[in-house]
Amino acid sequence: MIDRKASLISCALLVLMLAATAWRLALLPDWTHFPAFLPDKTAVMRSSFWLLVAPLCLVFVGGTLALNKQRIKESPDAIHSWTRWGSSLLIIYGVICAALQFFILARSLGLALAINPTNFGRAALVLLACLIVVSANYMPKLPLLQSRFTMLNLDPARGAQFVRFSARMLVLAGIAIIVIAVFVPQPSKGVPWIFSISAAVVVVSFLRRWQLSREYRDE
Amino acid sequence: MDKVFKALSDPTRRRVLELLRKRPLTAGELAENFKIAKPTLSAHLATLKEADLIEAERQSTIIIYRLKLSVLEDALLAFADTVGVGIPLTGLTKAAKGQKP
Repeated sequence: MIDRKASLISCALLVLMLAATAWRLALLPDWTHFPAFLPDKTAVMRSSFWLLVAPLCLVFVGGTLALNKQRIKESPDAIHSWTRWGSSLLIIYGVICAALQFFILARSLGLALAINPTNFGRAALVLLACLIVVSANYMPKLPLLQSRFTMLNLDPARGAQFVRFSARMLVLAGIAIIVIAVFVPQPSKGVPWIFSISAAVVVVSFLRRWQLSREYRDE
Repeated sequence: MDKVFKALSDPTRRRVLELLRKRPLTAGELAENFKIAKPTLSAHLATLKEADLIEAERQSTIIIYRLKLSVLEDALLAFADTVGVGIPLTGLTKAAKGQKP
Protein backbone atom coordinates (compact mmCIF):
# COMPACT_ATOMS: atom_id res chain seq x y z
CA MET A 1 0.00 0.00 0.00
CA ILE A 2 1.98 2.93 -1.35
CA ASP A 3 0.86 6.00 -3.26
CA ARG A 4 2.03 7.18 -6.66
CA LYS A 5 4.47 9.72 -5.24
CA ALA A 6 6.22 7.10 -3.09
CA SER A 7 6.37 4.63 -6.03
CA LEU A 8 7.93 7.28 -8.30
CA ILE A 9 10.47 8.44 -5.69
CA SER A 10 11.52 4.88 -4.79
CA CYS A 11 11.76 3.90 -8.48
CA ALA A 12 13.90 7.00 -9.16
CA LEU A 13 16.18 6.14 -6.24
CA LEU A 14 16.44 2.54 -7.45
CA VAL A 15 17.30 3.59 -11.01
CA LEU A 16 19.93 6.04 -9.69
CA MET A 17 21.48 3.37 -7.47
CA LEU A 18 21.57 0.79 -10.28
CA ALA A 19 22.89 3.27 -12.86
CA ALA A 20 25.67 4.43 -10.51
CA THR A 21 26.55 0.81 -9.73
CA ALA A 22 26.62 -0.17 -13.44
CA TRP A 23 28.80 2.85 -14.22
CA ARG A 24 31.23 1.97 -11.40
CA LEU A 25 31.42 -1.69 -12.46
CA ALA A 26 31.98 -0.69 -16.10
CA LEU A 27 35.13 1.19 -15.03
CA LEU A 28 36.64 -1.91 -13.41
CA PRO A 29 38.87 -4.42 -15.25
CA ASP A 30 37.17 -7.30 -13.36
CA TRP A 31 33.53 -6.41 -12.64
CA THR A 32 33.06 -9.30 -10.18
CA HIS A 33 35.10 -7.46 -7.54
CA PHE A 34 35.37 -3.79 -6.57
CA PRO A 35 37.94 -1.99 -4.41
CA ALA A 36 36.94 -0.56 -1.04
CA PHE A 37 39.45 2.03 0.11
CA LEU A 38 40.34 2.21 3.80
CA PRO A 39 41.19 5.51 5.55
CA ASP A 40 44.93 4.77 5.06
CA LYS A 41 44.20 4.62 1.25
CA THR A 42 44.89 0.88 0.96
CA ALA A 43 42.26 -1.01 -1.06
CA VAL A 44 40.50 -4.23 -0.09
CA MET A 45 38.77 -6.16 -2.91
CA ARG A 46 35.15 -7.08 -2.19
CA SER A 47 32.61 -9.11 -4.15
CA SER A 48 30.38 -6.94 -6.38
CA PHE A 49 27.39 -8.72 -4.86
CA TRP A 50 27.59 -6.20 -1.97
CA LEU A 51 26.74 -3.43 -4.45
CA LEU A 52 23.37 -5.09 -5.05
CA VAL A 53 22.34 -5.45 -1.40
CA ALA A 54 20.89 -1.93 -0.89
CA PRO A 55 18.89 -1.93 -4.21
CA LEU A 56 17.59 -5.45 -3.45
CA CYS A 57 16.51 -4.39 0.06
CA LEU A 58 14.60 -1.43 -1.44
CA VAL A 59 12.94 -3.70 -4.04
CA PHE A 60 11.96 -6.18 -1.31
CA VAL A 61 10.40 -3.59 1.04
CA GLY A 62 8.72 -1.65 -1.81
CA GLY A 63 7.43 -4.87 -3.41
CA THR A 64 6.06 -6.18 -0.10
CA LEU A 65 4.24 -2.91 0.60
CA ALA A 66 2.86 -2.69 -2.96
CA LEU A 67 1.72 -6.33 -3.10
CA ASN A 68 0.09 -6.14 0.33
CA LYS A 69 -2.77 -4.20 -1.29
CA GLN A 70 -3.76 -7.32 -3.27
CA ARG A 71 -4.15 -9.31 -0.04
CA ILE A 72 -6.68 -7.08 1.70
CA LYS A 73 -10.38 -6.39 1.28
CA GLU A 74 -11.40 -3.06 -0.23
CA SER A 75 -12.01 -0.51 2.50
CA PRO A 76 -11.17 3.03 1.25
CA ASP A 77 -10.67 4.70 4.67
CA ALA A 78 -8.43 1.95 6.01
CA ILE A 79 -6.45 1.73 2.77
CA HIS A 80 -5.93 5.52 2.75
CA SER A 81 -4.41 5.51 6.27
CA TRP A 82 -2.19 2.49 5.56
CA THR A 83 -1.11 3.98 2.20
CA ARG A 84 0.07 7.17 3.90
CA TRP A 85 1.96 5.10 6.49
CA GLY A 86 3.52 2.79 3.87
CA SER A 87 4.51 5.67 1.58
CA SER A 88 6.38 7.62 4.26
CA LEU A 89 8.08 4.41 5.40
CA LEU A 90 9.20 3.55 1.86
CA ILE A 91 10.50 7.04 1.02
CA ILE A 92 12.62 7.28 4.20
CA TYR A 93 13.85 3.69 3.75
CA GLY A 94 14.76 4.42 0.11
CA VAL A 95 16.77 7.50 1.11
CA ILE A 96 18.71 5.49 3.75
CA CYS A 97 19.41 2.69 1.20
CA ALA A 98 20.56 5.24 -1.40
CA ALA A 99 22.85 6.98 1.12
CA LEU A 100 24.39 3.61 2.00
CA GLN A 101 24.85 2.69 -1.67
CA PHE A 102 26.43 6.01 -2.64
CA PHE A 103 28.74 5.85 0.37
CA ILE A 104 29.99 2.38 -0.72
CA LEU A 105 30.45 3.63 -4.30
CA ALA A 106 32.27 6.76 -3.12
CA ARG A 107 34.64 4.62 -1.05
CA SER A 108 35.30 2.40 -4.06
CA LEU A 109 36.39 5.54 -5.96
CA GLY A 110 38.67 6.60 -3.11
CA LEU A 111 36.34 9.45 -2.09
CA ALA A 112 34.83 10.30 1.32
CA LEU A 113 37.82 8.73 3.07
CA ALA A 114 37.51 11.19 5.96
CA ILE A 115 34.24 9.53 6.99
CA ASN A 116 34.87 6.54 9.24
CA PRO A 117 33.05 3.55 7.65
CA THR A 118 32.34 2.00 11.07
CA ASN A 119 30.64 5.18 12.28
CA PHE A 120 28.75 5.48 8.98
CA GLY A 121 27.52 1.87 9.39
CA ARG A 122 26.45 2.61 12.97
CA ALA A 123 24.59 5.75 11.88
CA ALA A 124 22.77 3.86 9.08
CA LEU A 125 21.75 1.09 11.50
CA VAL A 126 20.51 3.59 14.09
CA LEU A 127 18.49 5.42 11.41
CA LEU A 128 16.95 2.15 10.18
CA ALA A 129 16.13 1.12 13.76
CA CYS A 130 14.57 4.54 14.46
CA LEU A 131 12.46 4.09 11.32
CA ILE A 132 11.28 0.69 12.64
CA VAL A 133 10.47 2.18 16.08
CA VAL A 134 8.56 5.18 14.70
CA SER A 135 6.60 3.15 12.10
CA ALA A 136 5.76 0.34 14.54
CA ASN A 137 4.77 2.83 17.24
CA TYR A 138 2.07 4.23 14.95
CA MET A 139 0.79 0.86 13.66
CA PRO A 140 -1.88 0.26 16.37
CA LYS A 141 -3.46 3.63 15.55
CA LEU A 142 -4.19 2.53 11.98
CA PRO A 143 -7.53 0.90 11.11
CA LEU A 144 -7.65 -2.87 11.18
CA LEU A 145 -7.37 -4.50 7.75
CA GLN A 146 -9.25 -7.65 6.82
CA SER A 147 -7.69 -10.16 4.44
CA ARG A 148 -9.44 -11.40 1.30
CA PHE A 149 -8.73 -14.90 2.61
CA THR A 150 -11.26 -15.22 5.42
CA MET A 151 -9.39 -18.10 7.07
CA LEU A 152 -6.55 -15.65 7.86
CA ASN A 153 -8.84 -13.15 9.60
CA LEU A 154 -9.33 -12.72 13.34
CA ASP A 155 -12.32 -10.98 14.91
CA PRO A 156 -11.81 -7.16 15.30
CA ALA A 157 -10.94 -7.39 19.03
CA ARG A 158 -8.30 -10.11 18.56
CA GLY A 159 -7.05 -8.53 15.34
CA ALA A 160 -6.39 -5.28 17.23
CA GLN A 161 -4.70 -7.24 20.05
CA PHE A 162 -2.42 -8.92 17.52
CA VAL A 163 -1.46 -5.61 15.87
CA ARG A 164 -0.70 -4.08 19.30
CA PHE A 165 1.43 -7.11 20.24
CA SER A 166 3.39 -7.11 16.94
CA ALA A 167 3.94 -3.35 17.17
CA ARG A 168 5.30 -3.71 20.72
CA MET A 169 7.65 -6.49 19.57
CA LEU A 170 8.89 -4.35 16.66
CA VAL A 171 9.50 -1.35 18.91
CA LEU A 172 11.48 -3.53 21.33
CA ALA A 173 13.46 -4.99 18.40
CA GLY A 174 14.19 -1.48 17.09
CA ILE A 175 15.45 -0.37 20.51
CA ALA A 176 17.62 -3.51 20.77
CA ILE A 177 19.11 -2.78 17.32
CA ILE A 178 19.91 0.80 18.40
CA VAL A 179 21.69 -0.55 21.50
CA ILE A 180 23.67 -3.05 19.37
CA ALA A 181 24.57 -0.40 16.76
CA VAL A 182 25.81 2.02 19.39
CA PHE A 183 27.56 -0.30 21.85
CA VAL A 184 28.95 -3.27 19.85
CA PRO A 185 32.61 -2.41 19.04
CA GLN A 186 32.37 -3.62 15.39
CA PRO A 187 28.90 -3.22 13.78
CA SER A 188 29.60 -6.28 11.58
CA LYS A 189 29.79 -8.41 14.76
CA GLY A 190 26.31 -7.23 15.70
CA VAL A 191 24.76 -8.46 12.43
CA PRO A 192 24.08 -12.05 13.70
CA TRP A 193 22.35 -10.48 16.72
CA ILE A 194 20.21 -8.30 14.46
CA PHE A 195 19.18 -11.34 12.38
CA SER A 196 18.42 -13.29 15.56
CA ILE A 197 16.27 -10.44 16.93
CA SER A 198 14.37 -10.18 13.61
CA ALA A 199 13.78 -13.95 13.54
CA ALA A 200 12.62 -13.87 17.18
CA VAL A 201 10.10 -11.11 16.41
CA VAL A 202 8.70 -13.14 13.49
CA VAL A 203 8.47 -16.38 15.53
CA VAL A 204 6.94 -14.73 18.63
CA SER A 205 4.39 -12.80 16.51
CA PHE A 206 3.50 -15.99 14.63
CA LEU A 207 2.98 -17.87 17.90
CA ARG A 208 0.77 -15.07 19.27
CA ARG A 209 -1.27 -15.09 16.08
CA TRP A 210 -1.66 -18.86 16.29
CA GLN A 211 -2.77 -18.59 19.93
CA LEU A 212 -5.33 -15.88 19.11
CA SER A 213 -6.74 -17.76 16.11
CA ARG A 214 -7.06 -20.92 18.26
CA GLU A 215 -9.00 -18.91 20.90
CA TYR A 216 -11.20 -17.51 18.10
CA ARG A 217 -11.90 -20.99 16.66
CA ASP A 218 -12.68 -22.44 20.12
CA GLU A 219 -15.35 -19.79 20.79
CA MET B 1 1.27 15.41 23.37
CA ASP B 2 -0.22 17.74 26.02
CA LYS B 3 -3.66 16.34 25.25
CA VAL B 4 -2.36 12.77 25.69
CA PHE B 5 -0.84 13.58 29.10
CA LYS B 6 -4.03 15.35 30.16
CA ALA B 7 -6.14 12.39 29.03
CA LEU B 8 -3.94 9.84 30.82
CA SER B 9 -3.74 11.83 34.05
CA ASP B 10 -7.24 10.86 35.14
CA PRO B 11 -7.88 7.40 36.71
CA THR B 12 -11.40 7.17 35.23
CA ARG B 13 -10.12 7.77 31.72
CA ARG B 14 -7.36 5.20 32.27
CA ARG B 15 -10.02 2.71 33.43
CA VAL B 16 -11.96 3.41 30.20
CA LEU B 17 -8.84 2.59 28.18
CA GLU B 18 -8.28 -0.62 30.16
CA LEU B 19 -11.87 -1.71 29.45
CA LEU B 20 -11.48 -0.97 25.74
CA ARG B 21 -8.25 -2.97 25.65
CA LYS B 22 -10.29 -6.21 25.83
CA ARG B 23 -12.79 -5.33 23.09
CA PRO B 24 -14.65 -2.39 21.53
CA LEU B 25 -17.57 -1.28 23.74
CA THR B 26 -20.65 0.88 23.34
CA ALA B 27 -21.18 3.97 25.49
CA GLY B 28 -23.85 2.06 27.45
CA GLU B 29 -21.54 -0.89 28.16
CA LEU B 30 -18.85 1.51 29.33
CA ALA B 31 -21.31 3.35 31.60
CA GLU B 32 -22.20 0.06 33.35
CA ASN B 33 -18.65 -0.07 34.73
CA PHE B 34 -18.72 3.36 36.38
CA LYS B 35 -20.77 4.99 39.11
CA ILE B 36 -20.62 8.40 37.47
CA ALA B 37 -23.24 10.47 35.64
CA LYS B 38 -23.50 9.82 31.90
CA PRO B 39 -22.63 13.43 30.94
CA THR B 40 -19.43 13.11 33.03
CA LEU B 41 -18.53 9.88 31.21
CA SER B 42 -19.28 11.58 27.89
CA ALA B 43 -16.89 14.38 28.83
CA HIS B 44 -14.19 11.81 29.67
CA LEU B 45 -14.79 10.06 26.32
CA ALA B 46 -14.59 13.40 24.50
CA THR B 47 -11.22 14.11 26.16
CA LEU B 48 -9.92 10.68 25.12
CA LYS B 49 -11.21 11.20 21.59
CA GLU B 50 -9.62 14.64 21.38
CA ALA B 51 -6.28 13.12 22.41
CA ASP B 52 -6.75 10.52 19.63
CA LEU B 53 -6.58 7.65 22.13
CA ILE B 54 -9.98 6.22 21.16
CA GLU B 55 -12.18 6.36 18.09
CA ALA B 56 -15.95 6.34 17.92
CA GLU B 57 -17.94 4.62 15.20
CA ARG B 58 -21.65 5.23 14.88
CA GLN B 59 -23.68 2.14 13.94
CA SER B 60 -27.35 3.20 13.48
CA THR B 61 -28.31 4.45 16.97
CA ILE B 62 -25.34 3.23 18.99
CA ILE B 63 -21.76 4.50 19.18
CA ILE B 64 -18.98 1.93 19.47
CA TYR B 65 -15.71 3.04 21.04
CA ARG B 66 -12.40 1.43 20.05
CA LEU B 67 -8.92 1.76 21.47
CA LYS B 68 -6.43 3.72 19.36
CA LEU B 69 -3.23 3.71 21.42
CA SER B 70 0.25 3.88 19.94
CA VAL B 71 2.98 1.79 21.61
CA LEU B 72 4.37 4.88 23.35
CA GLU B 73 0.91 5.92 24.60
CA ASP B 74 0.37 2.35 25.82
CA ALA B 75 3.65 2.55 27.77
CA LEU B 76 2.62 5.94 29.20
CA LEU B 77 -0.71 4.45 30.26
CA ALA B 78 1.05 1.57 32.04
CA PHE B 79 3.42 4.05 33.72
CA ALA B 80 0.59 6.35 34.85
CA ASP B 81 -1.27 3.33 36.24
CA THR B 82 1.80 2.02 38.08
CA VAL B 83 2.68 5.37 39.60
CA GLY B 84 -0.96 6.20 40.29
CA VAL B 85 -1.04 9.55 38.52
CA GLY B 86 -4.16 11.56 39.42
CA ILE B 87 -5.02 9.48 42.49
CA PRO B 88 -4.95 11.69 45.62
CA LEU B 89 -2.18 10.70 48.08
CA THR B 90 -4.78 9.88 50.76
CA GLY B 91 -6.35 7.49 48.26
CA LEU B 92 -3.00 5.85 47.60
CA THR B 93 -2.34 5.43 51.35
CA LYS B 94 -5.73 3.83 51.80
CA ALA B 95 -5.18 1.63 48.76
CA ALA B 96 -1.82 0.52 50.20
CA LYS B 97 -3.62 -0.43 53.43
CA GLY B 98 -6.18 -2.41 51.44
CA GLN B 99 -9.02 0.06 52.05
CA LYS B 100 -11.24 1.51 49.39
CA PRO B 101 -9.75 4.92 48.34
